[in-house]
Amino acid sequence: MPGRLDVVVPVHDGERYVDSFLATVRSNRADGVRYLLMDDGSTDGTADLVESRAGGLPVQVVRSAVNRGVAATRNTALDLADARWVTFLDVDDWCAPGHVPAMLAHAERLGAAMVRTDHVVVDGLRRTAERAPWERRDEVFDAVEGIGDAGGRTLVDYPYLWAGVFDRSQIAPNLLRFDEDLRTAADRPWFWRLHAAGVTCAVVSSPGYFYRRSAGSGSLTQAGADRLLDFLPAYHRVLDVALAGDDGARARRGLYGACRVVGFHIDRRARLDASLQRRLFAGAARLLARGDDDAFAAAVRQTHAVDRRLLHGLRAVGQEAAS
Amino acid sequence: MTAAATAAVTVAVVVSAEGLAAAVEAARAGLLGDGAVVVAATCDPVPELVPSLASLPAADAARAAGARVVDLDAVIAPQHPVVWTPDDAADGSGDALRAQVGDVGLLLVEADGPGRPPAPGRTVAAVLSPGEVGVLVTDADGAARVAARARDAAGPPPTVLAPETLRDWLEPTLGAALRTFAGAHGGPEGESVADQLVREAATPEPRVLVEVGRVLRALDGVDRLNGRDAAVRLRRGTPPASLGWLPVWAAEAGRDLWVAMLRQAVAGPRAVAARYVGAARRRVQRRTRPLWERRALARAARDLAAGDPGSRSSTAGDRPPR
Repeated sequence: MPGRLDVVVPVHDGERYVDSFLATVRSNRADGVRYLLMDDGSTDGTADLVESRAGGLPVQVVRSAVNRGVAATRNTALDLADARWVTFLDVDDWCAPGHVPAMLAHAERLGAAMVRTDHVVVDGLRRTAERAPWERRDEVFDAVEGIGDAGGRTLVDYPYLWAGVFDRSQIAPNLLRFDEDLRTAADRPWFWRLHAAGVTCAVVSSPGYFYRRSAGSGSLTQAGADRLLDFLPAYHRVLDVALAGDDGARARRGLYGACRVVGFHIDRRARLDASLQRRLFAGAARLLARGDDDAFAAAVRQTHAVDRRLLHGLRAVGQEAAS
Repeated sequence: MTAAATAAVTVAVVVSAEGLAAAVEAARAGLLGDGAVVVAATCDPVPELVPSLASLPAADAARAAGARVVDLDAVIAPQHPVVWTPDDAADGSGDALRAQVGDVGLLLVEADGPGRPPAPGRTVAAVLSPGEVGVLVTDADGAARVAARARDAAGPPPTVLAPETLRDWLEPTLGAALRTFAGAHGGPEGESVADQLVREAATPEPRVLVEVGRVLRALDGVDRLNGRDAAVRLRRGTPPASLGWLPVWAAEAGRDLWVAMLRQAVAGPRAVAARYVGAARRRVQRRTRPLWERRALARAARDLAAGDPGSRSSTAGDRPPR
């Protein structure tokens, strides 16, 4: 009999987080809720440890002999899922007691295709609440509204899979699949496609998802230096969605997001070696060459003043190369 | 260990599950001495699910090994363990601990700060009181051993520098730049800024200065700020990676501000030091940004004309096939 909610938990070498993960499961049990622990080629015995300690808990361990990456692992989990609803949990994070059942109850009550919520950022000992950028709570709306125009934050800039539950009966299977060639930032085009598809959405409050920012290992979303640049192809795919059709606001939003993420990575370019920095600037020039001039100018006007000269410069370089 | 304590009671304060396990091993080996008290606390807490390390299986193991387990979370901040830090444990918990467990002979804290359990092979100990040094080490396979114990240590752990070692640390890190600066802008006769800092520093916190140097040196374009100084530096044989731009910036900002910044960074709390570091970083960034922007754009144009370097990979810069 199909369950109500499958919680996808990808993990690679996350042995040190097994106890807190199982504590989350113990305090977040409900009828029809199953935790799919997707072991992605761990070499530290993560899967064995979970199986040895998860007696009586609704945890199903699925093993992969090789390390395939977080996107492929999530896709495998989606193939295995049989519950109507699906959500995600990073193994190094944790949920407050009752969080998962509460999110499921919200989803069943509201009937929206995706139900999103706030989370708490954990950085060492510091806790910071981060609200989903949407003021109307407990109200179903067209997810397209969550895209917005250039400036500020909207729901497409809140790309946290684990802060939402998704109705497989209302969302086309291809929309839930992750781009497996993207080692990071796959969640960006994923959310853009969902919001642009016109499914329904709701934002609710919940007991709390705790996202560990400074995780040392175990989380499949942890990024090495070169894979950080995967934001470039990810944002090309965002722009594929944003620039399709003649929706000016959506185009400006996509270009604004591209400008912001380029500015973010250029600010932090010191973490890249020289060759990766060159790839960053060249790739950014190509990315920012897209879209029409008016939309780009409107997007740049909403960015930090200190970044604008460089953003225009990168677009000029990219357009010159394209011509 | 037995319940009958000897005259000198050793207290180990551990701040991670790994550290607690290491202390348990040490207690089992008898290295902490009779009457040892293991004080358990956590620097990477999950209080929403696990209120205290003292309730974890590792604490039970410590009890089984004969140690008395005291919950440091409860001693320092019973209302919420999240509010305290390892610095609190090192600086402010002495009285509270003594009230709970008697004289504190040895304090073990992580070298790497909150939320980072010690990596295998890393030192996880620090000094509690002068002359008493404990070094607790985990080896490559995660097993714990006590490399040295109170009064028997061969030397201080590398993460704790005595005041007299500050100069040794300063010289290779900032020494060349500081001497250049002092030569250009004066100072007490015959005394470099480094000497002055060493003389005046009350409580050395060298890791903060490491951060100062690292952050400022990493700023792109600083080597282009003043060609004349760069040439002078090269003639003097100063390594290119040194802070040769410093005289330019310091002349503008004023020697007193620079000295005050470093002095605060050395002597002040981390939060104060961080403000000085941030101010210095922002100032340099404003001055250097046009330089590196022009350089980066020109390089990107050349790279794209020659064939985008990103095109070597489908995941870095090029548009991958859909």
